[in-house]
Amino acid sequence: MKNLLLILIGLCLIVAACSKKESETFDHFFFRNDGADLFVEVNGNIASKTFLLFLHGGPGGGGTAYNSGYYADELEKEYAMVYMDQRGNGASTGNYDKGTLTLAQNSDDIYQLTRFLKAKYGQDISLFLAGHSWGGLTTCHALVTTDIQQEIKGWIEIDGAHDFVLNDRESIKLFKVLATIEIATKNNLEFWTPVLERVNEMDTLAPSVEDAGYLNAKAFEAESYLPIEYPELPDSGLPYTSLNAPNSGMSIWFANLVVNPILNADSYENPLTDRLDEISVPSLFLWGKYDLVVPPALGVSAYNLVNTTEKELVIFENSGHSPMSNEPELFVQEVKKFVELYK
Amino acid sequence: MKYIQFFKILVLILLFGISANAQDLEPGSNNNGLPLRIAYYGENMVHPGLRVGTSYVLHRKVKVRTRIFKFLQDKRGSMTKVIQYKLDGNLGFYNHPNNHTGLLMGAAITRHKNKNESQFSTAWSLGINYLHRFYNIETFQIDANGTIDQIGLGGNGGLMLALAPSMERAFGEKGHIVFVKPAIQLVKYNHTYFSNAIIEFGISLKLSKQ
Repeated sequence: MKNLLLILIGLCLIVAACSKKESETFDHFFFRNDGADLFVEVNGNIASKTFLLFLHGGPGGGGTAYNSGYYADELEKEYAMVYMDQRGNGASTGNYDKGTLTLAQNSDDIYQLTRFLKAKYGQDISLFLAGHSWGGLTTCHALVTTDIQQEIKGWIEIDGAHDFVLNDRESIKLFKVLATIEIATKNNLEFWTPVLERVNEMDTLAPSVEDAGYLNAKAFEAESYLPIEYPELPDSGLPYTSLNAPNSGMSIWFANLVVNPILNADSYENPLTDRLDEISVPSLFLWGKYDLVVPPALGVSAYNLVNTTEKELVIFENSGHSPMSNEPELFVQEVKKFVELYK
Repeated sequence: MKYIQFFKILVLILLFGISANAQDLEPGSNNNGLPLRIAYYGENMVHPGLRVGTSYVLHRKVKVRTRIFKFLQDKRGSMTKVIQYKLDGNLGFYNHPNNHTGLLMGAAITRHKNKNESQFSTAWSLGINYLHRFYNIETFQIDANGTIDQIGLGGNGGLMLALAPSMERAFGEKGHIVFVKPAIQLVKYNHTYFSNAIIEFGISLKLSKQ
């Protein structure tokens, strides 16, 4: 009996042993804005006074998917990387109304966080805004709907879907091109042949919801059949285990199910191509050549339309949707070059 | 001992907001004192916590059936099935490192079944809890003037429903019980509810002298 009680008490004492502590290179907190408590983790060289606010993809993703790996380690050596879980995503929580699950509210969250970061770490910090995939849309939306451009030194869009409608159209085009090449060279015919048949049936100008779902699913699958690199570079490993991660796999899965349809619908209703000329901060566009999820044509479009001469587009020749994982050394090099130039 | 009894009854009244009416109970069906349940509570299985509680028998029904075959009846006696409906009250907490500590209190209705006075029993319970999550990390907000405001005891809360089967085994002279109780919970989270899984395992101690 005593042993059983001791085991129970011992299990509960684990509580004190699992938290990462605040340090010169690590900080985490909830940032409250309009009912939502947004989970924010600051990793890396805080003393550098250069901060990269990095927004995840999704909708339904989370920042913890990005704060590991070679590229994260290397960038954290130089800068403070800020990983924010956007409203309804990842470990962000709160008591808020469903009606606030919008891009507009999300943009205000991002903007208020940049104000907060400056208030907390100093008005003299250099702040850059970066977004991957759906995070490319949310950063872009924040840039054109809030005063965030006054707070930041530059925008880094990484395979960002700033226009869902255009994205589907370009995805169809790129699928046709790549599938035709792969079929002609008799590569993975069992995958490419049915995909090309299905894509050829789609209305190029107005793909249906089912088409969009198919394109997205096949785009990720296609990365296994394209010349995309997956280098094994040393990294510090995942910072969390299933025990002490700020969110659990289960909650991410459910959050994804719940917020994805809502924010996806809002994303389709807010194509931002026509507003890219409102962006005047230095901009860096990083794209994988074989990204069928968010084709490079979107990067080209954004590069051409932003209203600044301080801009660069880099196409990663051996990458898919995530050049930071496919070509991490080049990715780090390009980000550092941009940040050093404009910080 | 009187103090313990008083405390247990007080907890029941506080938790349930009702006072049990002994006249509604089958005479002699209720407890020889309320048990104390202590259990490991694992939110999403892995986030450790502790839950304590007690239960009160609301209704007890005994079914006795004669076996079809006489030789079995002679050898083993009649078959008995004891069904008890219990009102459980619980207080607990768990810790989700790097996110929050959850405090929960609630009540459940449990249908408890025992056959032939076996040491093994099974049960199903349906519970409702209030769960409050206290963040383990600081919470901040910023006002229009750019002033940072640190929020004390940041967190959020909501109701939680739980459906749980359980298995129990009695041991010792007093009839203490060890039990395991997995559960599916419907938890208020953000603007909606989602389900998660928990596991409870622990002991139920009969504290009274018999």
